[in-house]
Amino acid sequence: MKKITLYIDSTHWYAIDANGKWISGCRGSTPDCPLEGVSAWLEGLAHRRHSIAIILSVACVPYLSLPWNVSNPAASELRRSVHEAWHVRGVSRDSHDIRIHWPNYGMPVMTLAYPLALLQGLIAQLGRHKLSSLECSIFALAGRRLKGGGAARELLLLSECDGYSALHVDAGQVVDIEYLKPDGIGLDAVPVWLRRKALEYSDSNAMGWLTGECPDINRLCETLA
Amino acid sequence: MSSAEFRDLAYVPRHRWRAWILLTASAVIFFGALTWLRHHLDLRMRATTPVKEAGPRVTHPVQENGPLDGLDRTGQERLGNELRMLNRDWSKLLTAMVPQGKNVRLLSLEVNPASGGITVVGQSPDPVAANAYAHTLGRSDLLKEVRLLRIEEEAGSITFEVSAQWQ
Repeated sequence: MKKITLYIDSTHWYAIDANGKWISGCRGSTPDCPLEGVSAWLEGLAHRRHSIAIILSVACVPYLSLPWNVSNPAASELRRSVHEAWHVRGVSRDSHDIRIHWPNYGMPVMTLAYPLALLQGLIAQLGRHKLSSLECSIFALAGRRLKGGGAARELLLLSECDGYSALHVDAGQVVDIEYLKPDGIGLDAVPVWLRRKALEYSDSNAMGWLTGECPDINRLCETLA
Repeated sequence: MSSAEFRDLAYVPRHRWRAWILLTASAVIFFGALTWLRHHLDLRMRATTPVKEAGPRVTHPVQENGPLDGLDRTGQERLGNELRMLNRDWSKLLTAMVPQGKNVRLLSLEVNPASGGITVVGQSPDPVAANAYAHTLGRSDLLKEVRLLRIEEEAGSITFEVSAQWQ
């Protein structure tokens, strides 16, 4: 089974067609994430069954960075505290698939909550093709970047059509995540925000854009560079 | 596109059939190993056990002996009586034997389950209390032939002995 990537942001979906070109379509705003034209793209692929890896933009996946709690050293207690933190924000285990990145001792806990309605909607639209994995874009890209080792302290930036996000990495461990809307103003305007972060990460190699396989990401990276 | 670094942040559909295949394979290997071990042990047992002389094997029907076989009618009746005696309501007897007041204390209680004979030794402050206790036992439906066998004064208290028959 050949693995194919489908990238989805707040308004569009992107994928490579049978000719190796990027195609895109609109995405509906309802919770089940209807993708216009995705069935035609799937039919255009070979007739055999494919394994499809879906990548969602950061704006599509609720995330949470929680500080390490000394009183929750056990895995069960950590999991319970994460679920409680999500519950306060109106996210429950019945409505979302909560994923936890198990940190090293003392490090912050990164957690994502995939909406179950979106998951079921996507699986239904894939039809006979198999969903191999569903990932958040910045973590999918940063994972490949960090696998080879990196600087002691760095800021990994990602540009997407529906916003900008950044991972604060300390000794290979993600310690925080930030998200900026594309139309941010004042201190949240991207050029201003970047200058602020440049003061925080003074080393010229400590800030780097993550380039993905999606064309819009590359285009926006070039615009911002 | 999956990354090992943040694999736990990705949603990956669970394939339950893989777990079932693993479980089935483990069970097959386990029982296969068990069967092989048993077969191997059987072979070793056969090798170490001396072989009897070959000959026509005559099988005798095995007679199963019942637990009461070999007892005559009298013995069976006696055994039945003893079993009935053992299966009596012992808690009811003990409730009837325990004195109601605080002035009478029981020192010993002997019951012969086979014959139903009961011997009670107790202590009371005066002979009147011992008599009253024996009288109370006599009025019980469980006991018959209640007799006050002995009343002795020892160190300022009365020791008495009562015999009865459990019916």
